[in-house]
This record gives sequence, C-alpha cells and structure tokens, in this order.
Amino acid sequence: MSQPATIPPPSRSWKNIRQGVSTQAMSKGGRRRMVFASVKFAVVCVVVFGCGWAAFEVYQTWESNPARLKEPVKAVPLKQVVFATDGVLARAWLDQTLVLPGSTSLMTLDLSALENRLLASGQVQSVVLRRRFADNTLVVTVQERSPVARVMVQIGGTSPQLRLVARDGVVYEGAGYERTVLERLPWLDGVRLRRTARSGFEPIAGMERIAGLLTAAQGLIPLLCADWQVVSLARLASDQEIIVRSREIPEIIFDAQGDFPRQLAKLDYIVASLKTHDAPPMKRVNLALGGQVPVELQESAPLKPARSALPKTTSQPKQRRDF
Amino acid sequence: MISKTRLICAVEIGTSKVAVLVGELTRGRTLNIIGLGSCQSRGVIKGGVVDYKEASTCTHAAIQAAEERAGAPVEVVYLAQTGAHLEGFYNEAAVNVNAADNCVSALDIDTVCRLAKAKELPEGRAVVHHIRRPFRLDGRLVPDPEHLVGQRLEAGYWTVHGNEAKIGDHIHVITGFNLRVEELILSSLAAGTMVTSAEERQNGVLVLDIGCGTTDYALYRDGVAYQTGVVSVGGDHFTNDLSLSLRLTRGQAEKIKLRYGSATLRARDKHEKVWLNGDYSIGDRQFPRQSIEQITSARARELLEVVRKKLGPAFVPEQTPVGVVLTGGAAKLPGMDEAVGKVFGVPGRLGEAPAWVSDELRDPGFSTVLGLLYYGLNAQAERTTAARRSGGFLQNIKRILIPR
Repeated sequence: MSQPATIPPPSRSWKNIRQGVSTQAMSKGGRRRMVFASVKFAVVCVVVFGCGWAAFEVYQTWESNPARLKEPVKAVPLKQVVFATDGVLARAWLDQTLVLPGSTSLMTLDLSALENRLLASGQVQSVVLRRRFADNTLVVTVQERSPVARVMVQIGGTSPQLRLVARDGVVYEGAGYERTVLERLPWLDGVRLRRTARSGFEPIAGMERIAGLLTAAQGLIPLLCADWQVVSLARLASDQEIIVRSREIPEIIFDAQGDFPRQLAKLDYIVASLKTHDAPPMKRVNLALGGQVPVELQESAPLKPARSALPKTTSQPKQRRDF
Repeated sequence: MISKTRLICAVEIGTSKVAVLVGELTRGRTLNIIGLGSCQSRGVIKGGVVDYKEASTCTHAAIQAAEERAGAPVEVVYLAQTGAHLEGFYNEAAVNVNAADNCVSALDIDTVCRLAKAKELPEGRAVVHHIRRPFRLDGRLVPDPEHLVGQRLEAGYWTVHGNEAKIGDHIHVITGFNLRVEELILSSLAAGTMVTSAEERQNGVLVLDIGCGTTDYALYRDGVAYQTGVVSVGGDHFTNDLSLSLRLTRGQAEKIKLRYGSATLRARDKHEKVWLNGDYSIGDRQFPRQSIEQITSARARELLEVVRKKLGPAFVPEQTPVGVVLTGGAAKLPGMDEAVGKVFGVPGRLGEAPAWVSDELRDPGFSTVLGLLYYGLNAQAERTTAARRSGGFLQNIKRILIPR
C-alpha cells in the first residue's frame, strides 16, 4: 500500500466545543466564582502594573536625578526625643550630651554617632536609639552604671576631682547623684589610674571583688559598714587582700578570694565580743588568715579584771588573739 | 512548568446521582482524595441533560460540597461522559515502511496513526476518544514498532464519538460553574480502569457499568479497550417494570427492588409472600416473592442479552478468560454474577475498588468517579514524563534559539 500524498484533517473532537457559557446560563455560584476570578485577575493585573510602573519610575529617577530618591525620607522632621533610663540621669543631661540641632530630620540622624556620644559618659552602660516613624520620635533608652566607690583624681596641675567607680571598674564623672548618696560611698585607695586616649581612665581591675565585699557588708553588718571610709586595693594584686579603714578600726584586712559573709560574720563577732569585755579599741584585724584572726588592739589602760571573761592579757601594747 | 500540587476534580453526572471527588495531585505522581460531594441527580435522563437548570443546580451543589470538604477551590474538571448517543467504530490504516532498510521511523508511525484516525464523522458528531489497538508490523502484534524492521505497518483505532449537542450540554453544566473541563472520559473506561487490573485487561475482560439509566460496557483485550458502548437500559428499568407489573409507585417499586429484587430466580416456594412495608399500615400489602424475582431477573437477562448482542462477534468467551466484571449501582442486584455467567458463558463478579480506596468510596456507584481521578493522575504523570523527556532547561533554550 502506497502512502497517500495528503492526510485528511482529523475529525471534529469534543475539544472543539466552545466551553464558555453566557452569564445568564451560569448558576448563582458560577457567577460568584466568575466575579471572584475576575476581581482576582484584576487585582493581580493592578499589582503587576503597579510594580512595573514603580520600577519604571525608580529607574527614571535614578537615571535623571538620583539624589531625589533620598529626599522623601529626609523630609521627615524630628518632633521629639523620648528619654528612658533606669538610673538618675536627667533629660537635661541628655540634651546637653546629644546637642541635636533644632531642624534636624529623623532619617538624617546618625544613630551610631549619637550612641558613641552617649557612651562616652562612663555612667551610661548601654544605650538603644530607635527611630519611631509613627510620630517622628527618637527614642533613647539608657541603662546606667551604679557607683560602688569614689576616688579623687588629679590630672596635671588641676585641682583634684571626684570620680565614681562602678562595679565593673569603670571610672566616671557621675551626674545627677544626690550628695548623701555620694557621701556614703567609701573612698578607693591604692589604685593607680591609667589614662586612656579618650581622656578617660582604664577600668580598675578587681573592682568586682570590692563590690562583692561592699554589697555583702551592707547587707550583713550595715552599722559597721557605714563607718568604712577607705577601701584599699594596694595589696589586692600582690597578696589578694582588701584593706578597709573605718573610723573605729584603722585596718581591717579581708581575703579577696575568701568567703566574704564568713569573714564579715567573724568581724562582727570580734567587735561585739570586744565591746562586751570593754577591750581597748582595735587597731588592726586580719581576716585573711583563714581560721586564725589576729586582732591588734590599741594601747590603753589594762582591762578590768572583774568583767573580763577573756584570758588574762598582759600590758603589752600589741595583743594577739585567735578566734 | 508543572506546579508541585494541583487540585483536580472528577465529576460524574449520572441519572440517579451526581458524584464529585476532589483529588490533590502532588508532583504529578501522588494522588490524595481530599473532597467528596454527592447529591441526587435532577434534570438528567439516561445520562443526558434534559433540564439544564436542574442539572446545573445539583451538579454545582455537589462540586461546592466537595470543595468545602477539600478546603480549596478546584481548578479543572475531569468529566465522565455517558449516554446512548455515544457510538463507536473501528478504523484501521496501513503504510509501507519508508526507509530503505525497512526500519520503522517515528514518521511512519505518525502517518499511520493519523490515517487511522482520519475518518470523517457525520454532521453534529464529535470524537470523544481515539483508542488505539496494538500496532501490527507484518501481521505481528507490537506495542511500539519504532526502530523495528518490517515492511507493512498497520494501526487501528476504536473511535468513540457522540452527539455534539449532548456532549456540549454536559460540558456547559460544568462551565456554568466557571470551571474548565480538562478531559472528557467515557464512563465505562473510567470504571474499567478502577475495577480491573492491568493484567486482567491484558488477558481480556468485559466491564459492565450498570447505572440507573444506562449500562456502559468496555471490552478489554491486549491491555486496551477493544470495544466500548452504551445501552440505554439501567437499574431504572427494573424499577419501572416492577412499578407497572405490581401497580406500585416508583418509590415503592424501588424499595421492593432493593429489598427483594434478584437477577436470578432464587425463591423456591411459590407461595412465599413479602410485605410492601411490613408495618401493617394502610396500603401495606403482600406480593409473591417469586413474581418480583421473575420480573427483575427477566429484565436483567434482557439487559445482558442486549449488551451481548451489541458486542456482537467482538465478544469471544475464549478471548475473555477473566470474565465479566460488574460495577455501578445496579450491579449490586443479587444474582447478577450468575445471570452474567448464563448469558455470556464466562464467570462474572462484582468489581471491587483497590485497597487504597477508603470505605466511604468502596461502593460500586463510585467506581466511575474514582476512575476519573485515576485517569487524571495518569494523564498528569504522562505529561510530567513527557516534559522531562522533552529536555531540560538547556534544551528548551536551544529550542527557542534554534527553531527547527
């Protein structure tokens, strides 16, 4: 059988039947579906067209005047600055530190520079700066350091100045504190401050232990602690000893590595015990020797024998007792 | 690009009920049935739409119910087609292999296929399916003759065609719900795919889908549908006969058919009687059970004989060793398998859905709609494979840049 020159076209198939029906022939549900599909199609078309138009506009602007692209966001003016802190810093301090010009806009603010400006004050531990576009506001949230001691510094030939020391050893000027709060802080001694490039001081090493001792003392022996005037770090690095000078006891030596509550309890016991026995005032207490606590008393009249329950002491100026 | 997940909807607008299934095709390979909608059919007689509005209302309600159960709107519909207007014929063509070395090329296959399909139909008729039978190369059966050596290549198609207006009515019921008909599938083919295995179809099997208004049949041989057809007699005729013979309303006759109907005579006692309602209410009366069985069995036998007659010489019991597989709502009539055995001379059995089908859908009445989904899955898988075979990204680029 030879192949024919032309093959007849295929027969009419069901696929040739027009599937569309008039709206009148549609059911209510069908019409609803059609409307929904039409709306969906229209929305998609609008979105696609809108995106295309926007892209075209951006491209045109970019080609002609790229600076215009930034203008709309620059135009948002800064209305207010909201300040929140967990410490004592006041709004005035913030205004003085930030020094924002009056006609600044929200988007032109260099948040990184402002953050560095705020962190330059050692009193500020951390800061969060946030633009709030809803009401064109700059929100400044500050977390402050708390002072645990104070120190006098003298820079060059200037008069000595008061500085505060935080728990992490940061030395800062301190602003907004009440006078009574500052007067309750002990002075730091035996500290060698080193200047940094940014006219500040390097953090003092070992302040974490000092802060631990002071916190424990304020909690356990508040009355004795109130008399503490000087805390010396002179022998902290070499002997691991913290020396405290108070009005009543000229020298109390603590073991920096030891258990502070235990040492404080011993001190409290010794002070109370000596008061009971009308002992002369103490000159020196060394709590850094573990079980042995040498107490050196000041020179004074001998103890009254009738009330003394302690072993008889000699009239020697230096006495030593073990507890 | 083929999306990872696609929802397809299978719709069967039958004479007694409209069944809708929503399936989720994942990556063109996995099918999950996620929605079912079913409602009583209206405006449909013998598989044909006679009242567009009524048919639309119930079909759309069923689709909506299935969509709600699936929780997502469907995109495309696989529609079952039945009705006495569907007819089929066999046409074959042959070509001499062109190449000098007698090696069959793709062009030879394409030519013979197009020739075999190119038979003009009468006015107002449209092709529903072209079902190809295996190729013959120099008289031997070959599934794929490409690159084989031979001189004469033959191809034959069983073409199913129907009345364009009636097919259009069916389609418009779906498009009236703003949905698109992706594929139109013969009910008997859909049901046959579901209730028989590939091996059974290879060996030879006859599938009878006895619905309410029509009976669809598909005779399989060599793995393909050898012949299909529709007889406009179904379960409704059993009811009608009972109604006329026993002077009952259609509702009462349907009730009697479902309770006591049988495709073979089973009652031995001539005097055994059954009650219409059994509650001794006004109008309740007795009928001889044997009379009911005589009516239904006579009609069943007649139906099967009509099918046998329509099949003609195509049905050879020796070439149908698997027998007859029954499906459809009316196939549940007791004794139908025995009646089939008597008429066709081969064993008959009630078709069962595969094990993965849930209990809710195991009823023979759902086999067609399940088959539609299965057809959709296969069609999708074929498309995915074809897309993969057609080449990757670079091949597509090449095709665009260097057109043939």
